[in-house]
Amino acid sequence: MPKRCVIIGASLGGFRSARELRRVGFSGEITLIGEESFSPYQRPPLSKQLIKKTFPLERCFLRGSVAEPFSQQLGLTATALDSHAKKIQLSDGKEISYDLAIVATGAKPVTITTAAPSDRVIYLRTIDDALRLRDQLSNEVRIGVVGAGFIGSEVASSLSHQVSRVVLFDSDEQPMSKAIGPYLAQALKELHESNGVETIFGTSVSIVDSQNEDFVSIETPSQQFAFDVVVIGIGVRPATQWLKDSDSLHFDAVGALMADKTGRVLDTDDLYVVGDASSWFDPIYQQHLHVEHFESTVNQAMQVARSITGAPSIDYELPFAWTEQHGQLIQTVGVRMEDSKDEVIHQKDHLLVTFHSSEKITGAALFNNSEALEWTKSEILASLS
Amino acid sequence: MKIEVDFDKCQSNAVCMQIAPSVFEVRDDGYLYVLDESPEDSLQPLVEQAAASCPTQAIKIVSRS
Repeated sequence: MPKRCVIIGASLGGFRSARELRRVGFSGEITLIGEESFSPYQRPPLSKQLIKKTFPLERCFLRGSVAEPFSQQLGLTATALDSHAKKIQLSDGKEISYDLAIVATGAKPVTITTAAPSDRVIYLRTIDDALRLRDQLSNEVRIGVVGAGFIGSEVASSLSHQVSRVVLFDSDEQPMSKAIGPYLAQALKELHESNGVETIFGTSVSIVDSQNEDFVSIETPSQQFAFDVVVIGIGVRPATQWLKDSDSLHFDAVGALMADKTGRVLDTDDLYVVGDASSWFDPIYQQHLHVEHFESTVNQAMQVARSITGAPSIDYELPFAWTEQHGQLIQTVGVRMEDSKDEVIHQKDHLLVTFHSSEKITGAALFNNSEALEWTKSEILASLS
Repeated sequence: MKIEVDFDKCQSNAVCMQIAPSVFEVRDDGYLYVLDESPEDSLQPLVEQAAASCPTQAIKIVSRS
């Protein structure tokens, strides 16, 4: 008997799950519920190319369509889920019942209480956020970027030659060091500086957004800066608050919904989770991993569709991410543990840094070195298995 | 040679198009089109560079001449 699959979240994870369900032969009804008004889109270009004025918005939207019976309800959020009665409460007051449900609600930016989102304080997560930033750019604008993770570091890079001033702040000593390790992070810091990005690292900051001033102020213990626009990228948290009243669900330390290695939410039937909202058990690392990158979400969507229909599982893939800053490509594969010992391998102009923990290679970062990616993946897999 | 693009991985970054525009084209609709799945041998160095430079490793060379 055909079943109804309700997917909550209409971004990469939700849309790809829907499309993949059809690809592996699911014939039931699929309903996609999304908070944003845009058609499903991918986020990697938002902090890279979209905020440069030359990049067409169309390139963000996801390829393909989902065959009928399919319905898409945008501008709507889920507010509660009852996994026993298999019902989802929606923000318009209606209720929808499901045979199968996939949680794909992604993540929300961590916000600072003194800096509410506005036209001049931007937490970059959505197309709207990116366009709001893009619309204000000119060569007279001063931009402060708080947080030098993937998003902040990419924004600083993208805007460096477009505006009058870019200052990048982080409480760490270097950009992106948790993901790529201190060696490459130092290289990236120097790359920022040689491209005109001012770096204020290793210090706490406070943001003062006073209605009486025509600028936003950022203060460190020793300096004060005035900016026309401040972009804040200090991390995201899984958008799972709406599930917290549900019985029997398990969440990890950051609030991600925990699932087994097939994507099925622990201790439930017919409930699955993908993407930034999820923490799947990883059979290679033998622990739950919460990954916030495009490629993991794509793989999880493909796997969930197979878990639901009983189609053969996809091949295991290590976590993977990439970033391009100041024209340089950085890719990461696997995981960098907190106690990682890094090993730097020079290959002519290319760089490979391997991450070691408990006498295993758990991951690596590659600097303009994608030729070495496949080899690096096999080294990591051989070391871990 | 024969090339394949994994459209599940492709993010339309258009790096391949900058390197080998006679083979790869990202159009206004935002999607990558492979103009020539079996490019002639003289293009092999460029196609190999495009495959290696793809940030998401979406391009595979499935056979070489």
